[in-house]
Amino acid sequence: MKKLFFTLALVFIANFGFANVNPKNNLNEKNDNKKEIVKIIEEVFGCASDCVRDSRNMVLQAAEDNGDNANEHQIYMEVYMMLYQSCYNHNC
Amino acid sequence: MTMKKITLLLLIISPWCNAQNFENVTINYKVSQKERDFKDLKEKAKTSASAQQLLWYYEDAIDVNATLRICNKESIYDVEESLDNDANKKLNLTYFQAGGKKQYYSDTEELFTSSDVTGEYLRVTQEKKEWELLKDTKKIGIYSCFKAININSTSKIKPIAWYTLELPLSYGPREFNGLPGVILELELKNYIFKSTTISINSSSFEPIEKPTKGKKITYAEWRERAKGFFENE
Repeated sequence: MKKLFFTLALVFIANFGFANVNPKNNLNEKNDNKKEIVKIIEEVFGCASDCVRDSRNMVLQAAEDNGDNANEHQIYMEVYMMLYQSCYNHNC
Repeated sequence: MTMKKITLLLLIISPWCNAQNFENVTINYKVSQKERDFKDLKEKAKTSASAQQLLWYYEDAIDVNATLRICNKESIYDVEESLDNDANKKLNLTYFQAGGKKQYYSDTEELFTSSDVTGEYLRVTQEKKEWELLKDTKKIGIYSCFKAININSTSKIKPIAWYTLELPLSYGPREFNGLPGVILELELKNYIFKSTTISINSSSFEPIEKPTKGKKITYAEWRERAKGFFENE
């Protein structure tokens, strides 16, 4: 009977230990991974959205300089695409 | 034959004679940014990074060459590929104003651009230009030219074209067509297209290939696609 109690106690301790150590580790790992993914998303998409904003601003300014409405001319869409691509390639 | 009949006959055969004279024509243009002081932009650049960047692009812009080829009531206009003008791969804004990657094709029925600048091949039909023909004249090379203003332009400063009746073909750079003669000079607010060489009936003229790639849409449809993209926030 003593042996049975001892064995059950060991199993309990072992389980308790794993339950408290492994999930914690998994959770920490998951949190670290999540943080890393969020960081990458923020970096890539934050950078991309900066490029969108800057390229748009430049196109609007260029159209204003030329006395044009950027929405009316195909040229400005082409300028925007090139500015965005250049910004993304250099910064993101 | 009475004088009236002779005049009538001359009027009838005159366009036919002209058409016969020009089997093919190639016009090269140099597109340049006009001299300007960038006063307003320099002021904005003090507080805006994008204005500063744009100012650098303007300062680095270089002239580009473009070609208009005309044959059998068809024309095609395109810009010489612009190489990045320095090691930092800065963009040449003059290249885009000259027409950029787009080809401009025109025949008696239509005028459209062809390109894949938005990631998909599109052929966009251009709206017809309306012109006010003026009496002002000037000589460009050996040709006498007349002045015309593009009155249906949406630009604040209306484009000015100088065309010659000595080449009675209604084509010009980019989408600027529809005058009684070829455009030898085109002036936009900040850019100028000047013809540099004109070659007539060259034996090395290569046939014009009508672009067929991609979906064809009207300018109104293109405008609808791009709608709001460049609205001020």
